[in-house]
Amino acid sequence: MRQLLRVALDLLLEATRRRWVLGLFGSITLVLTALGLSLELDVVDGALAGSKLFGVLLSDDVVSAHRALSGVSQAVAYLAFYGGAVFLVVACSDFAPELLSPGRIEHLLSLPVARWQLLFGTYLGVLGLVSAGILYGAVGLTALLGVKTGVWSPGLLLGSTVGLLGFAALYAVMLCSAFFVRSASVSGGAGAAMLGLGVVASYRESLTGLLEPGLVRTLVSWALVPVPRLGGLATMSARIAAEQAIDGAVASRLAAGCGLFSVAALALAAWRFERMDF
Amino acid sequence: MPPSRRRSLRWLLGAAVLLALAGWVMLGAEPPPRPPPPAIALPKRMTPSEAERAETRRTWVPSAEPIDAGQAVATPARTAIDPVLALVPEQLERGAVVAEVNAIFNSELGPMLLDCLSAGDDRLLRRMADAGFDPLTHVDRVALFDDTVVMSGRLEALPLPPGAVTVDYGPNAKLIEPPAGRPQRGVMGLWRNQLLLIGKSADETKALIDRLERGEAPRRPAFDDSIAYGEVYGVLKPAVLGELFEGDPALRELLTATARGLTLHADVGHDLGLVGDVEANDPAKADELRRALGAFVSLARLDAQRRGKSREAELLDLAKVRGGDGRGFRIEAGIPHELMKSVLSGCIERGKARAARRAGLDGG
Repeated sequence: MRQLLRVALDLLLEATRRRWVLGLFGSITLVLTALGLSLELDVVDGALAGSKLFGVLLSDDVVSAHRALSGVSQAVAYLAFYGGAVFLVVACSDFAPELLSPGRIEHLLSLPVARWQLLFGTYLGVLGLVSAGILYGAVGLTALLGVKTGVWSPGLLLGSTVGLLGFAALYAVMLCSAFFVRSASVSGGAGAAMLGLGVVASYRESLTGLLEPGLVRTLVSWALVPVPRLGGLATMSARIAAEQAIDGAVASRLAAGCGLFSVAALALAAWRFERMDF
Repeated sequence: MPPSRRRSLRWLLGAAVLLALAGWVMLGAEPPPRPPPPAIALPKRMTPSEAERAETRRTWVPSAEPIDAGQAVATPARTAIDPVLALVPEQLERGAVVAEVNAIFNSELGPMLLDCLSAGDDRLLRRMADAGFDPLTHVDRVALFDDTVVMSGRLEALPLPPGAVTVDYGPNAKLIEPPAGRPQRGVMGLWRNQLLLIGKSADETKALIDRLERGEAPRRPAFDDSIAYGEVYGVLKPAVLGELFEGDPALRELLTATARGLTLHADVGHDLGLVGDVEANDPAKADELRRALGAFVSLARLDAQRRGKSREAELLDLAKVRGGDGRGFRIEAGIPHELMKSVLSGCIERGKARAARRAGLDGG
């Protein structure tokens, strides 16, 4: 375990040296600042009397600030889930290929660290970095909306943990792909494709119903079974952010399935890593 | 096998097991699979029993002219005809539809359909039955050819309007003249106590009777007995089809400009199945019309979903616009038995409520 953490810490230090961390936190700060300056919420006595984004009137209906915040949180959660996933897939695409770069991998393998520890350590390191970024964004947004509306809700913070779970599956696939093709763009592409597949898998029944009955429909339907339901996780994240009820059994199955899939992808990567010669 | 290879295989095996486990766990989070759409029998072709029915309906009408047994008289070649379909004109303005009333009323949904149509008040039906005429058993078919109405069956006990006068017209027919002073919507004629004909004028009714007497069918009827299958069948012309899309002027215009007509078949035996074959004037525009109608159905379904009209959306979900052969295309729709029962139950309840209100008003 100590070796795992050392690899993860090494990755964090490497990211800091490459100013990757600065880029991540700078981007989040930029988004928060832009939102803070452009979002005008006119709250009077606990009721939202109007809202504008970049000067454009979004709504002039008078609703309770709590209810309005619920809608805003839901929209922000969806945006953060999908937008954040795309951003992080691109931003994290070169960690794994970098790990395997000639010179560096030989150096790492000469250390008393097992290959699987290198793999899982890198994974944990990236997830640690991303967790910090997500936490920073969620706290920032909660504070921003809290200050603007006077309503303080932990929904966004809790919802963002589901977002992290979704990214964990994406990054597991990205890391795995890097062990087959050492390319940042292929790794990023695998993450983006996984995101799309994850949304499609969330509507597996209805979407495969559009195909003509037969072998193709059966194959597609079964191929999508182990794919994490990222669309379902996004909805879960949005509902948690909006403080709406969620089905506990469904939520835990979605989360567990996503976790198991991530570990499966890492196990596949470990199998490939064990067979590689450097 | 070297230990490193064995170790790597363990990872692969673990990945497979975990993937299967992930799939199993997530399957439990999916909503229960949607039940397959109900299989509704659609009237797409003539069944052997319908072919037999059409065959038995073809009759030889004896010539009105006496034939001299001693001479070889050259008589025009005639074929056996279905007397109802013999009245289908060559040119239609609005359309021609035949309803197999007897089959409909004696189907599973028949009694409910009758209750719905009689709006909870069966006094008229009971009066007719008391007079010896039971529409449920004595009426066979009702047809509408543009403005002409034809009813076939055993009509000898058909009650006539009070005060009506019958005048013989030829050896086998009579004209029924309504009492003087009564507004006249059409002129009725009764042929061989088998066909009731209602034409726009006395001349039209007489012309229909003459045609039956001569036993001649039109040379190129708007449709013949090859399409006589299903419980309702016929042909609708573009003018009538356009009226179905009053709310969509663009589609109405495209339909009236492109469609030559729609051949309709409906089955009411158990479910309600509808098949409409649209024939287009211009093959190039047939596909455009097909796509426009398909889009109309999809949008109507979405609109019904948006308005929370789940039953309407469910019905539109079952409607399909099939690909065509270039000259036309097919529209299919169906209503499952249970849904039909539920719709008819609602209709009967509303009818009963109206009848109760009327009775209350009459009494009070």
